[in-house]
Amino acid sequence: MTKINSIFIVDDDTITIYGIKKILTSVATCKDIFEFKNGQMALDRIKEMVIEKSELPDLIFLDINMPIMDGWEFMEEFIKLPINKKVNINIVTSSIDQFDMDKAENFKSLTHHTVIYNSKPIRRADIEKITAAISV
Amino acid sequence: MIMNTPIVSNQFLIKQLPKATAFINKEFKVVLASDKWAEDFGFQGKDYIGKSIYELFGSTSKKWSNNLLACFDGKFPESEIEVYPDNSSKERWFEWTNIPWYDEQENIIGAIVQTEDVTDRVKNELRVEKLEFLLKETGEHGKIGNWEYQKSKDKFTCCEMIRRIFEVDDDFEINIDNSVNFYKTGYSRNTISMAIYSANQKKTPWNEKLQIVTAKGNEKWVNVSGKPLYKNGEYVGLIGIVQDITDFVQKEQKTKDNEHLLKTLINNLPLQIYIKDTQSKKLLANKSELQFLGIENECDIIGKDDFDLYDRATAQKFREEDIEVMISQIPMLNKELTRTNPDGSVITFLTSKIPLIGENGEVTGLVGISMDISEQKQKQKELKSLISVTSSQNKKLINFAHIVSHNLRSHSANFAMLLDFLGNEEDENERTKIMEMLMDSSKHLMETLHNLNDIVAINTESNIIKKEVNFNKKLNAVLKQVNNQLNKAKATVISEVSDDVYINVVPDYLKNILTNIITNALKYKKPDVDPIIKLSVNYVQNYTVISIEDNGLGLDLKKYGTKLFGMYKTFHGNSDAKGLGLYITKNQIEAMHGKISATSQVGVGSTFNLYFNDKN
Repeated sequence: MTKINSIFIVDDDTITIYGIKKILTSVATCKDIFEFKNGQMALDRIKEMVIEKSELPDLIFLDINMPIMDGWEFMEEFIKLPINKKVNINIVTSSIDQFDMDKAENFKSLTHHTVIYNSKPIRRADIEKITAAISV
Repeated sequence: MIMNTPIVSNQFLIKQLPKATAFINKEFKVVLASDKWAEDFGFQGKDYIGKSIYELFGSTSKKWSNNLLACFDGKFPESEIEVYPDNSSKERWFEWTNIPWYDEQENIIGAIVQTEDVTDRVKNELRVEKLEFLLKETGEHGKIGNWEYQKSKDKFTCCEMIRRIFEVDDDFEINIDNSVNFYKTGYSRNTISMAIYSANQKKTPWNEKLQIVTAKGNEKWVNVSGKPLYKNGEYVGLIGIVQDITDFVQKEQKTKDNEHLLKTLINNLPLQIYIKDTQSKKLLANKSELQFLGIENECDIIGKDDFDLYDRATAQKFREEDIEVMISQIPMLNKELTRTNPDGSVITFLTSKIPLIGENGEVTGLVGISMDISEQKQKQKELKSLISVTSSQNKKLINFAHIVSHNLRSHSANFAMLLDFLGNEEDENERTKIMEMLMDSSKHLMETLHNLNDIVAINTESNIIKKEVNFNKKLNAVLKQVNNQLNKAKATVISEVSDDVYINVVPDYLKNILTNIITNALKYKKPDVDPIIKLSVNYVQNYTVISIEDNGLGLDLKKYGTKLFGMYKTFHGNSDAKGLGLYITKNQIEAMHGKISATSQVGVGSTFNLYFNDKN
């Protein structure tokens, strides 16, 4: 079974969080899974981690539509942070708008982190693929 | 020698001859002369007898000398007329008749010279000649013919021009009766008949413009005038002229037609047209211009300038334009001008001013053409606002569709995922949990659909019915409904709006809007400060503006301003925030043709300004 150290789930929808967690635990062994209700909360934690120089997450599941700070705003701030580690960011959204897909593409070209666009509902096969790619 | 001549004895008689007569001997010396001769040539009181005529007259013509010599030869030369300047250097004409002078033995001893002062005759002849010439030339150039009727002989005479005007054959004899027949039946013939009759009976002259039909059947216009002739008070005939004025009348008619055409055109064009002289005084104004200025008759505007018609500032502006155009001689074309009427309405014109340049290249004035394009401008404005409304509606629609699809998709995605789990889950507890989530999700979906339906209703309500309501009454009703929440939050609501403020609204919308903003103020209050909500009123253009101020958390509008009234936008992370309240508020106020704006400062509070449209 794949092993992943640290995973962030940033989403304001409890059902989605439940779903991702449920699949994750069945396909991989995860040391830590952290949940955040919006981008701001996740960003604040990451900033702390950067300062503390603690281990940053390997994988982030990121929703787009969230209060206070949405997924895009989070991305903008996140790619500015001095992080050498290549973080695997999985955008998970119910949007199938080309505009959002293009935006994700754009972020790909702006950062060394991996950015993958996924439409909801997220399937077991998707998560298997994601976790396999970053298995430690 | 002279004394020996036989006529000496008759000297006394000769002196008295009534005609100027002189006897000249072969030596050209004056032997005898009548006093009349001396008088005519200014020799009175002078010693002229025995003097040579060459001495007396100074220079004489060669012809005259030859003439005298011919007489000495016994010939009788023809009379000659010569000019002789007298003392006052007036020209005088004399007719000389020289004949040989015989003595009793019929020997030629000299010449008898008789002179007659014919100055008057010569001058009359000249005058007649001149008059005849003038008459002929005038007749030719002016196509004027003259005629005369002598009653005694019943004789009608006329010049060639008359025959040409009437276009009669050479052998046709015109008389007083048949000449009348050339006049066109009706007015013309009646008039000439009456004129001749009146001249005959009442001694009246005539001068008429009539029509004739010539012998060749051509119609012509003639000017005829005439008068009766009287001798010793007795009618003896008629004299008159006929002038062919066909060309003139036709040209005049053409000019009149052109003028009429131009006038008709100018007056019926939907443009204001005027002509001004160099002093900017109006020389012409068409119907539209008069109508625009509210003036009935053109004559009331002729000679007036813009200072008589417009206010000083406007007139001065117009005058400056006029001067610019007239000095530069460059037309001012399609310049847009606006003018505010005393009633506040604004008129927009498109004005052109074109310099009028005379034959000598100097400006004589200008032609102005204006078109009132206020209506087009208004239409343009309406169109622009319509486009802006449409595009904003469109944007809203896209946004709405986007949100709907996103929301429905997120719910359906959850359903799909949860059902997938349920299919594979064997743990009873877990199954129950998933079922609960499914129920929850279904409830949320229903709620979402309900909300969307509300928003659609606001936006599709085609004829919202607005009523005038008392603001404070409505406010109090709302406060009563949210009383529990207010008390729980220890909130104070202060209305600075006076009790006589009425606003034009859909009552339900107003209720919802007030509820929303007031409860928002409670929701986003500072944790340790009791909320104070203050309402005030203001008037801006067509709007009654209600401002609602709170002392809550406030919001960084620089960051969230564009999203404040957006759908499903929440800003404070409260669990009960759905991001619909302000979105619905904005939709409702816009449905009432109003608008909403907000100012806010983090840590100080927020103010919402509600613009209620008074007009529509």
